[in-house]
Amino acid sequence: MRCLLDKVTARYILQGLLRLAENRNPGIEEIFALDLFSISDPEAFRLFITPPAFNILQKLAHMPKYSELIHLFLEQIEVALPSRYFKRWARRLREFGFTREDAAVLTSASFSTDKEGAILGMRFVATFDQPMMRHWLSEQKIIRKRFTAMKKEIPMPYCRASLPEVLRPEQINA
Amino acid sequence: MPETTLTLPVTVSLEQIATLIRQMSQSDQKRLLSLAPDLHQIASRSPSPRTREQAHTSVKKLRKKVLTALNDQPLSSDEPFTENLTLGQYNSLSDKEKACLWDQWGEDTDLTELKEKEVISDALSVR
Repeated sequence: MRCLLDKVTARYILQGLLRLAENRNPGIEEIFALDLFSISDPEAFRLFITPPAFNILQKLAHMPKYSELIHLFLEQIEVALPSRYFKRWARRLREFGFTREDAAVLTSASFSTDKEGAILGMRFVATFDQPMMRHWLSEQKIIRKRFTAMKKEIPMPYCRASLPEVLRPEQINA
Repeated sequence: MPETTLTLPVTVSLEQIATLIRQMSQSDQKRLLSLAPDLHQIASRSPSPRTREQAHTSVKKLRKKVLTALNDQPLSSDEPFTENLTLGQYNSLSDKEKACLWDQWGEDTDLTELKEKEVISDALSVR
């Protein structure tokens, strides 16, 4: 199983780790984000972040006091790189009224890969963004129809791409 | 002559088995499912959501791991976090303010501007 973390979920994991590093208690959303982080597994349940989130973490990693924490984070989380047909599907999703960033995250879950190019897409998107989740669900029927139509136009292995389940971190269980 | 069975020790990875299954015809895949019905049950089962108790247990373990990584020297809230903020000042920001900061830090990377990567022909899809 594979799961893509949106930027807010990645932020809550980092903030949760910072709280623990201060020996303080994280907030409830940070706790559920940290729980998802804890149950990840490099083979059975892989977690991914987008390149923009990765770049933010890299900036913080330059500060010696935080490098251990960022290392701990990046030891368990990989970067999802846009695959072929990313731009085409992102353009179509934007037509459904998603923001540029939401469309990019949702598209990454269908058309992204790891650094070896050995995977295609994610089963889940983890997010705390309720309006985005609601919009994804309410438009699901027509999005799926459009997605199926696009898949008929593209070659293997890209035509095996799928749409993700968009859920809150605590709804995702390995 | 009695029939004999020869067993050869062969190591096959799960990825190799998955590749083999993907190359099967649909009727063979259906037959495989009838031979291993557990696969069907696992695939159709929705995992139950995580409970608060499970989450708190995870965090307890993670706290140990984090503090060990820091040689049991917790970070101070006076620690500089960014050029302009200490960790304590960052913590005291509202969630909206933190989100704005992250948006600013990430605005130099536009996903739609990145080069699209090709995947290998037998890339593992989700389903």
